[in-house]
Amino acid sequence: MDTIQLLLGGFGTALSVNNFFAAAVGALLGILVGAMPGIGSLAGVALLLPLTFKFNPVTGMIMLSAVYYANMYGGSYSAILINIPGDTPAVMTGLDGHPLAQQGKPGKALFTSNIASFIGGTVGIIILTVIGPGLARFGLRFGPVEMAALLLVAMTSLGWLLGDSPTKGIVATLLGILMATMGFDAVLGTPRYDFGSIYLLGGVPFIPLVIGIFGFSQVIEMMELRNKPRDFDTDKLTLRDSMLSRDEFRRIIPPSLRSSLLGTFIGVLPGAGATTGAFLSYMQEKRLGRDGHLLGTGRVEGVAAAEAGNNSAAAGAFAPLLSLGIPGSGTGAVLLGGLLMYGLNPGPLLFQNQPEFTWGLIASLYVANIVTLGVAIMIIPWLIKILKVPVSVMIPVITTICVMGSYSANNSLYGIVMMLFFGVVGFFMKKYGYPIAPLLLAFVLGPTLEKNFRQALQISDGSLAIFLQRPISAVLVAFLLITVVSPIVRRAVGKNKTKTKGESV
Amino acid sequence: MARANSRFVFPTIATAIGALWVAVGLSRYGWISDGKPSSGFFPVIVGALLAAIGIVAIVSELKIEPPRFFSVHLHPLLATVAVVVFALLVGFFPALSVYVFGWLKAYEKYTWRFSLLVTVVTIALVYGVFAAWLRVPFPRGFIMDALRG
Repeated sequence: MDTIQLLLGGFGTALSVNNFFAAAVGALLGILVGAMPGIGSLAGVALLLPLTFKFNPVTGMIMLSAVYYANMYGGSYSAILINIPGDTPAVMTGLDGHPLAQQGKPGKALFTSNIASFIGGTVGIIILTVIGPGLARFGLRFGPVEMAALLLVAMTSLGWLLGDSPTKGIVATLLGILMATMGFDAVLGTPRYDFGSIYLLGGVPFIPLVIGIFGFSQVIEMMELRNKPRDFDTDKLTLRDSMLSRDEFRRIIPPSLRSSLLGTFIGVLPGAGATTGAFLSYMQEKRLGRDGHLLGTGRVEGVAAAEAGNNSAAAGAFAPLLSLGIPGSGTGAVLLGGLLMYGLNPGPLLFQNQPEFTWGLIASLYVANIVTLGVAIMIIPWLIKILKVPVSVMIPVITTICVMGSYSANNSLYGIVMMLFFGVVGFFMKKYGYPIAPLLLAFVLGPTLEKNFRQALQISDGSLAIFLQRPISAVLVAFLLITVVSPIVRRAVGKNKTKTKGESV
Repeated sequence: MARANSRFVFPTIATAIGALWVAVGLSRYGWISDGKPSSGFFPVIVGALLAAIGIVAIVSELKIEPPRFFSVHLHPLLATVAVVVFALLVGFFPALSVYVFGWLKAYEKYTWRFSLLVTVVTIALVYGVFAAWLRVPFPRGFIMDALRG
């Protein structure tokens, strides 16, 4: 009952003219940015972060969340139409979406993607509404010991999952933590690792870092793609041809619902995210679906499973973000950075201390989901034109936004210098296969980890055994060990198998 | 002759950063003071881990073929540096206008009309958002400042 009342109060906040407008603009921009191949949700949210400076925290976060959320819709369009995913979760959508486009049904693939995204998002947001406050109440049991263990789990699981190798994920994570130690020590308030520079005294600035490492690095990378032509299997899309028949509707509902539940569960796990949600939902459909064996040949069920999976995971990821302060993905880390920038402290007390903000944001996700669906359907006839914007035109336009955004972070050229530096760093990291998202996640979570870790050691007089003496942290440490050890064991077993095969030949 | 593998550069830098953090942390900020962790405590642990994992990364990287780089990768970086320098002289919006137009017309060989159209739309949008709406005080440049006294 309480939850419903709070949610209704949240709708009061979300439906104010300013907030509704912010959600609608966020939805439109999110779809556009997500649809453009090569930009992706992370770079999209990063580039649009400065736009929210003018807003109050509630409106700013509503807009950013709508951008993030709508990105999930937009990411699938280029995967379907030109077989280039707008972001990583859309890779799975392309497996059936592009074959459908090649069969002359691009509109149906897009419409399926929109409807499944809507179903996934709605299920994810309903579950978020129900479990969010419970998770926050559970989070109130977390002291520094449990919090430090949870943060370690969040950082390592993402670091291990992404990129070419676990080693690279760990290097990126540790670099992110070290970058976060520059500036003031959050516990003692003394300056450190500023190397005598007054600029570094304030630490590494968040917005130039995000814009550089995701936005500008993308510009440098795009230079390789700028002359590559994009092949379209169709010249024209109409809403009429995109509509699904009753039979097609019936076919996409069960996979959408199944994937929504699985996707939300994945999204709630710290360190998992939309990509894992889409991947596992697609695999689930392949096994459980009536025509699972046909997936990959251009089936609407495949598109529905992947899209419902990634959108529900994106919505579910808000639960640990808001109630525990743990983002589920790189984009979640940008959102967390945005929350911190606005002076809001995500964590167990957010639901208690900032109910207007928290419930306003959750209610705005319902609103943004409906608005995004409307925009997503209306935009279908224009998609070919949007996707035909050449990379060579996007390069100077994105660079201009990068320059303006990083300057406006603190009205200083220092912001641009940092943006360029991190742009180059991000480019090299991508080229050498080092994942960037764990670096950002670690950068954002690093100070909280350090604070809690040091407090835990103060409580235990320096003994690490405290992490095993408390039940919640002991479970988390066990999970952490499994995460760390399992890839090593898998690799060792894999090597042994190869050796044995080699010997037997 | 074996081609030099650039893959070791990134983990080597990471290892060096880890070692630097350990050295600076221990020498300047301390490890434990009055039984409590000092400012250097956490960064030293993370730095040591990074240095160790960085060495593992160096060894594993040497077995992999390095990626290819092209001179075009440098172009957006050089262009942006030039824009910033030019912006200090004439101000941000004129510098960015010249950059967007110059890139499209001279570098990408688009038509005058198309290049001008994209430039006008882009600059109008960023001016509207950053200067008019967010009221970011962009520098007008030395030349404009001198002309205005």
